[in-house]
Amino acid sequence: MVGFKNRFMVMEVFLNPNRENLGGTPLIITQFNVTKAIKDSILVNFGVCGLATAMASFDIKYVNPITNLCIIRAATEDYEKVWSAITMVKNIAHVPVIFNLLDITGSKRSCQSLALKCEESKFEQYKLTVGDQLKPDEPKRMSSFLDRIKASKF
Amino acid sequence: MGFFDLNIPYTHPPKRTVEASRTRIAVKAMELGYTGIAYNRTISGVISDEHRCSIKPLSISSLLNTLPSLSLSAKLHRDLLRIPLSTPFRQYTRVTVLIETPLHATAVCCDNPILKTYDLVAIKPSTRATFDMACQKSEVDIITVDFSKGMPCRMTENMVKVAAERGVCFEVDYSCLLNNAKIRDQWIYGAKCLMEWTQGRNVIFSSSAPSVNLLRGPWDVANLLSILGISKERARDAISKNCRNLLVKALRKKRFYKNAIRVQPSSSNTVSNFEDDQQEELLKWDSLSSEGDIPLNDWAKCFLSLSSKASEIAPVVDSMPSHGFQTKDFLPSSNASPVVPNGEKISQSTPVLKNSTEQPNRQDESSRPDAMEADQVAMMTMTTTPATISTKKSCPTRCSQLHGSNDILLSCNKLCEKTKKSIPTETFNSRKSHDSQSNLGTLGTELDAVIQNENSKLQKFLQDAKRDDEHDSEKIFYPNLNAKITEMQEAPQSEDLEIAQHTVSKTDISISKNLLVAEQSGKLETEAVKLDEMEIEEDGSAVVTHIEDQKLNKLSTESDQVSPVESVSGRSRVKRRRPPAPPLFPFKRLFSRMLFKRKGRKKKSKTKPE
Repeated sequence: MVGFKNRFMVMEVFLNPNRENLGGTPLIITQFNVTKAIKDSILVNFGVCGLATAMASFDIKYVNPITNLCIIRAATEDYEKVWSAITMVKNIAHVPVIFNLLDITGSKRSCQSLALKCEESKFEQYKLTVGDQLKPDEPKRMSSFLDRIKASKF
Repeated sequence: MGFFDLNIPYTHPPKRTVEASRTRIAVKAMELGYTGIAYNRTISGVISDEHRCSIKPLSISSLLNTLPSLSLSAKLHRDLLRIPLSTPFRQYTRVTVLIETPLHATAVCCDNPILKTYDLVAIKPSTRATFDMACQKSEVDIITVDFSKGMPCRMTENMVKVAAERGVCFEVDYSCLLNNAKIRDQWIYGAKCLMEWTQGRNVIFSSSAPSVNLLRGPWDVANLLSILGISKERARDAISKNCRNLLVKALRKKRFYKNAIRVQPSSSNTVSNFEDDQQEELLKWDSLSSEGDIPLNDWAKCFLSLSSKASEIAPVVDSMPSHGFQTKDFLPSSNASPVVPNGEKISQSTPVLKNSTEQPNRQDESSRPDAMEADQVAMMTMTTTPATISTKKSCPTRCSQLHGSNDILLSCNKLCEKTKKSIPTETFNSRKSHDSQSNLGTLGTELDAVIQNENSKLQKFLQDAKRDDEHDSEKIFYPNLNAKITEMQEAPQSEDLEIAQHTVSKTDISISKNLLVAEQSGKLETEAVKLDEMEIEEDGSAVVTHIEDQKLNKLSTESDQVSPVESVSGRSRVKRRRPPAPPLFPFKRLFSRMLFKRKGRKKKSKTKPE
């Protein structure tokens, strides 16, 4: 049977929800800065032991900077701790953020279908928000991200 | 089950920046999938007139301006949270009173008119004494626990349990967990104690987020709480079910007054679809409606509804008739305007209140035609028949089985043709068309006039009906009782009959009165007791014979209703029988009275098929 059981959490990130004037370049979420922010949060709230046990299966599998969607994997035993640590993340690189869990699944396949559904909806919302300022290459990039999900390369 | 966030800060003189922040929080909450939010105003010191509720719910246009993709986003989140899109987004108003002294706590009670302008009332005790006072005596909806100032020392398990028994909710804010690292330890400890003592039952969690950055989604909040030691279900309940129950209670307290009923004109004008429309109205009634309801599936309706909601309430109050509502207004057969009682209830002026408290009894009675009621009605009309029949023409034809009050009336009418007394038949005929219950009230008063008429006609009627004794209890009237007329005309018997008639008619009046006022189920015995007492008081000069007593006692059908008659006529006797089953036709006992000699025949005739 399957030795390692995981939970896949599909999360969305709201960047600067209060529309504060931060100056500088707008933040683009990447696998690196999200991982760092979450690890710091686990360390502060659950300590070294908490971090060590969570690190066994914790990983950021997929990040989409256009729609601000990410898929995070965690072990079944620790996913609640990791989830609450993610909730307590207040900022990424001095930019206030809100992490919001969309759904949680136990297998890659169900995560795929869920992620596709959320991505499509979020892209529609993005297009509405951006309006005329939509860059021409963004739909292409979007489709490449969707292909990644469909190919389950995460 | 929707998710609620019942603490979104509101500052009173609404500054532009603060209002913008409030709008953003509301938008975010709606986007994240919350079903309802409450704007919380904090007041301290003496409660004065300036503390009246002036919180305006946000309009959908302002929300859409902040975030154009709001509808798409809200739809996605609601789908994921498994909340139907038809549930509107609700906005409530709330006040939190800071309490520093126990004296101050006494000033805060639910009768305070200024606090009544808000949907929810909360208190925030700051010392141990005020916390104890709040738990034991305050009549508020929520006790807000502030963990920032050494809270764990202030709370005691006993007080928390006392408050929980009274039904007061405790509120915990999760924003200080996220915001302030210093008090995080105290917060976790205090919240954990509270969870253990209440077992998550009467606790609600809210954000009290000063800005959008500290707002979190419903499932995230539920997960945060589960690390405090309560189960996942209880944690989810703390932001959904407990909030909902609290809101329902609080709104009921605010809008209605005890058991008063508000009558409101229904939207439809046709009387023919009376029942269907009534059911629809009842199903549509929303116990959680707020002033700022925003439906998510129909934006156009929302724009219209928000503007018209305030104006809807005023005309209803104005259109209430000053004399209160009459039964005829509710009856479908009447030609009066269709004023239909809605499911909603609010208090009105006392004359209307009195009328309205009577109406539901009548309404309930008319809407529940169960067998018991039919039997009672049958009984009622049966008891009235001698009095009424004596004034009407008697019917030569035989009436077979009895089916409901209308049949009784018809049969009575037919029988009445026998006795040729001149009394207008208008009242009697008109009764047929009305609801049986409305008859009862009028019958009682009319009986008095009728009783005073002569008894010879009555005797004739009784003679005719006396054959009924051997047969099935449902069969009432039999003609051609000439053989028995001589017996019936015996002096003591006639006197007894008169007495019986008087007593039965009086029981009839008292029955009618009691039925109108009291509930119908399970009160027959108490009524019998009451009637018994009344009978003893009223009947002054009863001439009693042994024969009559024995006859009455030996009758087959027995009832509680008739036991007073029995007991009165057998007053010289010490014994009183209390037979168990209710009678269908009390008069039957009088009709079926037999001399000793005929006892045998009675048994024989019972076996005869009819």
